[in-house]
Amino acid sequence: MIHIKKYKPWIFYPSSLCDTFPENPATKILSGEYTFQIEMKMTLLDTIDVNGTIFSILPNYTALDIHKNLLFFTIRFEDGSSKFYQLPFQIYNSVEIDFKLIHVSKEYLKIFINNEEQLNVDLTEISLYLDNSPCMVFGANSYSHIDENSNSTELKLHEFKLYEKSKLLAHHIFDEIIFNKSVDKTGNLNFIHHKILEC
Amino acid sequence: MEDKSIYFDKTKTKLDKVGCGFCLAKWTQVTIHLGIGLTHSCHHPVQHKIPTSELKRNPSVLHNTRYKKLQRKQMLEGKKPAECNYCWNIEENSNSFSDRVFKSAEPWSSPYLAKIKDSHWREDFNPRYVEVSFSNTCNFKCAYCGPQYSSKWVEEIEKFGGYSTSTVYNNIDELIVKNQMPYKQSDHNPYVEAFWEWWPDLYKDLHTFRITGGEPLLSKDTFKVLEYIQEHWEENPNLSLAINSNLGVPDNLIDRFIEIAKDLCENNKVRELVIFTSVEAKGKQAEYVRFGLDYEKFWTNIDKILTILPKVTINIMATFNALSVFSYNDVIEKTFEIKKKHANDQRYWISAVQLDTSYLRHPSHLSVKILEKEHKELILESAKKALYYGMTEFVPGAYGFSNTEIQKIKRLYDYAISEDSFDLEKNREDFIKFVDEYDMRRGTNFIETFPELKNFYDTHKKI
Repeated sequence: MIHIKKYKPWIFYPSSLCDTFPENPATKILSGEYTFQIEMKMTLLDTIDVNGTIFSILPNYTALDIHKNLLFFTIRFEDGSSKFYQLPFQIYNSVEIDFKLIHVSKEYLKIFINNEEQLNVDLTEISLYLDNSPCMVFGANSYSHIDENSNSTELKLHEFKLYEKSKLLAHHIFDEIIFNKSVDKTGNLNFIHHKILEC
Repeated sequence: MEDKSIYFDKTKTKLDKVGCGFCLAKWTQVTIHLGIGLTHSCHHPVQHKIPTSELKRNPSVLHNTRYKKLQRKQMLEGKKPAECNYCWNIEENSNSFSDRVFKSAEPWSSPYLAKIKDSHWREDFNPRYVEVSFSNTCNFKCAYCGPQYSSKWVEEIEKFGGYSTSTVYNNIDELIVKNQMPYKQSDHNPYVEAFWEWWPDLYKDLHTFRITGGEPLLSKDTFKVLEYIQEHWEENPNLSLAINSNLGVPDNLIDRFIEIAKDLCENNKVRELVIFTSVEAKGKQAEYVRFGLDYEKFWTNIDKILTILPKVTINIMATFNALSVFSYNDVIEKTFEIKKKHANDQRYWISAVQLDTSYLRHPSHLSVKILEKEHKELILESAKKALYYGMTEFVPGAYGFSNTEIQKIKRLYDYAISEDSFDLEKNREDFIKFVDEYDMRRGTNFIETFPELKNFYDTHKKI
């Protein structure tokens, strides 16, 4: 488990350190042409009367946000337009939740929380954004400038998994951290790292 | 990235306007081995002998030899000198820029393009990037080194002859025939004499000066250069100074060097000072390969230098070879520890210490290519370790391994597993002969030092 504190986001961007290693960074599949699945076990700690971003996929902003005690999901489409969807799930502080996002390329994007469907967006007419080098930020809407506009929030992330179709590309249980980087259990080197120099 | 590419493209266009073989490095850059009397501009062409007859009337012949001037003439006349084939191959067979472009685009080259293109080929030119080796005097005899660069190696070869490998490794007969045997430090050396005659004029024009060896800290000429800079720095306060050292010389020499370096750095008598050193394994394994090394002392000296000199960066040039794979992880750990301990925002370069890993190609019997697949996998583990120790932010005061440092370790693995014309059987056979003879000559024990290679040794010894 990692405790993500306000203004201290963690980043899933394994190609950000080295141009050629890992050779196939998992983040590249967070784009409209790929079928992928994200699974997260987390506990929200800052849900009341705040604007907070639980995670954001950048630079084409697709994100899970907290706004006025409600949960919203933002989708950026391939034509550059965005849509905001309110999710019916009621959020509370300090309650562990299972989040699952399933994206089937050019078909649909579904979101489940605690195994209950929260969202089902048809992508047959217009697909998710396309991007060559996306990254994912936990606890903010940006990683380059963290300030009062970054929608920073606090949460505990217990587990993170990313699949391409059924193939597990990254798996984190955060039991081993080396120099601010969570070790990827798959051995694929798809680490998640902390923005600051030392944990 | 795109900006750089445009800059290189513009440089190439300017060079090509003069001639398709025009390269500023033939004028602006030089490496001079004063201990042997060899010179070359750019490291790709083979070194050539400096005629002592020319030196007598003009000490700048250490760089401006008649031979080199004839190459420059070809370049100014739109021809491509044959000795620069390395670049012509790249330009003719790929879309990449060659070193002709990269070196001409360097800050020690590009400002002089107009002056050089309008010059006559017979004119002398003071180089801006100079590497000098005063002698081969060295207290080490690293397994992959040789008599040209180590006086200890000369002593061994004079006593025992070349190794009985298929290549007769480090045999000096050819050096004697080619008149390329190094001068002893005690001998009168006309090349060193010429250097000192040229130096006051050269110093004023230098962008970068790098002292290599042998072991530079064992050379009185190294200290003479450093003391000259202490006295005359106002003539060139922007000098980038680099010095190689094995960091295994007696304490009094290390301390003397640190004292001078402190003055140069604290009083801004140079633009930057960088120290280059080497290690590529841990403990006894490192001491086996870099014969003469005291591993603990090596790191103590690094710590001492970085503590007393808060602006200096130390670059570890690791020549990764077959005997590095089992303990390179420890070198990575130790480098990271030093990076962390000595990180500050004053360093000339971002890191206090850099690990610059290159793979050894010669002698081929020490190449990682001789190893088994399971050994090569250890290189990948090292690369993974370096990645997890990677620097997340490239800003002053940050530490961790840089993109380049990580890539170079990963590239080792790619090299180790790549398939080419490497003669595996011959090189394995040579490796066994080499370590057997090495142990006999030096009183070392290969199997005791490298128990991980016992099976490998036994298998190939039988063959």
